[in-house]
Amino acid sequence: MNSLLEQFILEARDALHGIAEKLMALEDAPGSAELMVELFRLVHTLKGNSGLFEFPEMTRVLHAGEDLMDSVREGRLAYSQELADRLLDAMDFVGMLLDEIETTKAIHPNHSETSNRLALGLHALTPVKTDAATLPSAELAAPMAVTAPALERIPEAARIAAWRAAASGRPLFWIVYRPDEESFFKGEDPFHQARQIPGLLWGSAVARTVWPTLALLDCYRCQTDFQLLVAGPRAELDQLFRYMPEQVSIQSVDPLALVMPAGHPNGGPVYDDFAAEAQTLLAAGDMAGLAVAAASLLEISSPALWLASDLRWLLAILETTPEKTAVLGRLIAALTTLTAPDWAGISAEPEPAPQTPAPFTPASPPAVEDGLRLAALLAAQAEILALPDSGDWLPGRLKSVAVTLAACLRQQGETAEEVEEALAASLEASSASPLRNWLEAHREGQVAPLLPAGSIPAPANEIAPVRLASEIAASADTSPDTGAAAGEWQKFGRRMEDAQFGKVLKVDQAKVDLLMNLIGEMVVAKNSLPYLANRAENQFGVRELAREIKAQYAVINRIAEEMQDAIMQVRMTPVSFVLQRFPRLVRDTSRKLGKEVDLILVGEDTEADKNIVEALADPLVHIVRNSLDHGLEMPEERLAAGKPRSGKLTIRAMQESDRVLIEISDDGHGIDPVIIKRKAYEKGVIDEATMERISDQEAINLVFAAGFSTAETVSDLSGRGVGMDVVQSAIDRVGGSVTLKSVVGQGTTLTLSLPLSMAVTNVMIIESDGQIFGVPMDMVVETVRLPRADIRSIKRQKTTVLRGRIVPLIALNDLLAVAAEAAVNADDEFATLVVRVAGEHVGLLVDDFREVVDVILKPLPGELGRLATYAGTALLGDGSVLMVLNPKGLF
Amino acid sequence: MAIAYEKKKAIFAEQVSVEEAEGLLEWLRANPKAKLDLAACTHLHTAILQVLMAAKPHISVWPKDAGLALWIKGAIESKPGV
Repeated sequence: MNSLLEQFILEARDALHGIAEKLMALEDAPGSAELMVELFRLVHTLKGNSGLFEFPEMTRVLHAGEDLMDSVREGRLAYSQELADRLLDAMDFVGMLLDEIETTKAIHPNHSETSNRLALGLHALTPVKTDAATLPSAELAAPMAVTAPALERIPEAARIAAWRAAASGRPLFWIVYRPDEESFFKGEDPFHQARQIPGLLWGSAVARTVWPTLALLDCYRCQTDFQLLVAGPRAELDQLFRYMPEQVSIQSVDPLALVMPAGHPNGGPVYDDFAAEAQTLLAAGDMAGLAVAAASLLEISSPALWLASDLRWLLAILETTPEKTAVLGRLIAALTTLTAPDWAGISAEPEPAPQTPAPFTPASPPAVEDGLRLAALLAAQAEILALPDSGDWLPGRLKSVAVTLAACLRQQGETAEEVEEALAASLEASSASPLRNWLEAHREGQVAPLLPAGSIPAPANEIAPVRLASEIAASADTSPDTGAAAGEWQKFGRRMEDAQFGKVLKVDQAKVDLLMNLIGEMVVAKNSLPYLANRAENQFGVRELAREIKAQYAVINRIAEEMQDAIMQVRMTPVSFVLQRFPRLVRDTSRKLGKEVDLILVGEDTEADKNIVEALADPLVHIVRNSLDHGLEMPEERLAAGKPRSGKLTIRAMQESDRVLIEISDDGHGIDPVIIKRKAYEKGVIDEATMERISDQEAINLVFAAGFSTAETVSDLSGRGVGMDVVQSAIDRVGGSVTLKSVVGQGTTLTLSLPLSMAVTNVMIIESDGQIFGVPMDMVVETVRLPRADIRSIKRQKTTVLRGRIVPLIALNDLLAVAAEAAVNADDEFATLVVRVAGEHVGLLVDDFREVVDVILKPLPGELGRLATYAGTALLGDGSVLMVLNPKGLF
Repeated sequence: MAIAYEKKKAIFAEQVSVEEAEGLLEWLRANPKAKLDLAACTHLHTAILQVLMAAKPHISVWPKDAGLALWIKGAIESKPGV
């Protein structure tokens, strides 16, 4: 299951819960507009989300719910108990669908009908607001009887084919498909749809009204209905029409209704003779003889005659279902009257068993099996009755046995009166014996009828196909409120008890934040133990205790670190959370720009703290838009430059130690430093001297300068001059950095480097002029002891050469305006902290280095927050406050 | 073009899509006695079918696709509202 769907299911469950809650609240305060709006919003959101997936059944119900809530919200309809009930039912249905999606990842097309019914139920409450669309659906919802004239139009060949299909066990359906008038505009082709139906036997296109003259004809408005005769499973039809159930009516067709001989009513005495002979053959059970006779008569008759048609039917039925003697009889009788046979009473009642012993059919296995099963059942009942007659359960036991026996008898076509009598006697005597006696007598005396020898197939089997069809018809006609539908209704009405609670726990972020703060305090508190150990040793001279404290510290330290990790894990979110919006964004944007772009996402499952991932969203959108708008060229330009027609935009996320790197690269035309320099100069971002001096890389970095935009015109995508500087400051805010690399003609790569988490900061403590300061470890490149002799001065700037590169040196005291020289150690060496600022290395001369600690960095409050020099403060283990420097703000 | 219009005859291609409906309607209005050759046609859009049903043109060659031919014949002969 993809993560989007997972997310949807989670959210949908929440929304359902919310809807139920709001509805409950509305019962107490039916007039609350606020609740109403909230309710509408929930239903609306849920519907919108469901539309992202292929769940038309769900969307349809929700859509109806939304319409209903909309009218309630606008005051066109008052809140009522019934409304709440229907809405709750609909939501239970949606809940059930969700369960199904979760387990099977799809919705069974069977639900289409229920969905339709619920949607209609909701629509019925919605006041019509000149909404033409709802009218035809209501009209179609009423079951249309398949009238004989409609079936008569079907050519005989198709009807006979349908009969054959029905005889082979495929149910027949009559479909009236009334496409929406606007359907052509939705890209539908109803004619194509109709021709696609599996098992289509016959179909016809019928104009809805008389056609206007050609001059007035609007050929783009669908005015055609389709009538179709189909043989096949109902589920397939529901599946096919699942997106437009309100436009079709599907009814099952009794195959007998198709047996309608038609033709020229021309008869003669010869046919009377035939009829008499045929009846005799039929009565004798000579089906082969009857077929031969009918075929020879058909040969000499004109095919257009009514009776030829009747004979064709006779032959078709003889071939497919020769056991239907009653049908055959009436067809033969019709030959003499030349009127359509009357089928009343045939389809429903069982046919009489053939009078002559049918050619000895092999014993039908199901019947034997039934008999055996029945015998086993009876034996079990006898065993139960043989149990001692004691305890409070006796009456219940007797009754259950009686019910079982009665059911067995009914299955055999007998009445259960005797059982009831025996039960009454048993209950009265509080003894199982009367019932037991009856059962024994029954088992001995009537073994034969209970165990049919197998030569006579159970009558129920014979009429099964016809019965099936009529039963379907009956259930299809059932109105929503009664019968079979009620049973199904209950099925999802019970959801409150068996509601599934997912394994995912949704917790308010504030609670997790609180945990995070607490573990932070814990880390700080634990850091005080080493101080304590030191004091025990140095101040009080108890080395033993100091050692024990250190041992305890090691344990607490381990647990605290694991705990911190665990809490961090809770807050970890995959970057796909923000990346998943890009495929759509890129597609839409590139369409708008007329460019062709392939988006490649790599490493979407890389995780980072929720705040970090969320902070990424806006900058990333900016960057991607920039790439699409400025970076990638039009297809023609690309072809001319010898590149593939469609551009490539790659977003790659990866983890590198404790940082998350997001790399956005395109293979567009890159950034031309010359243009950037000129633009920057024109806009006054740099002066002429700078323009001459700066390197290409520096020039490219100018795009991060505030108010800089290279686009000649302002488009609705980018080019308003609020671009990369916003990106940079947003990334800075979460402690990240941005680097930009670009090669003219080959493309641009932007790399965002972000901390995995913002909660705990690793800082190095340094000392300067007797004070201690913290420097974030991610800024620190290295620490070196620098002999005085290695320091050179270039003009007035102290510098040194470290690993083959020139590093400028600045005393921290100078930067902080402390009037003291940087101290040196006994070997006349300067403690030099090399930090990375804006991609450059700078050496800070400090007095001494101390340890590295984990601290919770708190930003400076109020006005102090504007001091760029400091990143914040932290509390140390010994209770002192550490000022943490922000090297970027120092220069 | 999915329909090739000649002087007094329109020849349908294999598939005739919805875009052709208006053109066909105009052409049939201008040439009420024209003939249609549907031999190659295997499917036409509902909108085209509607035009055929409304205009009831003279179809000189029915589609080779027997199923489609039956559909079109049935549609043209059908009475509205049944």
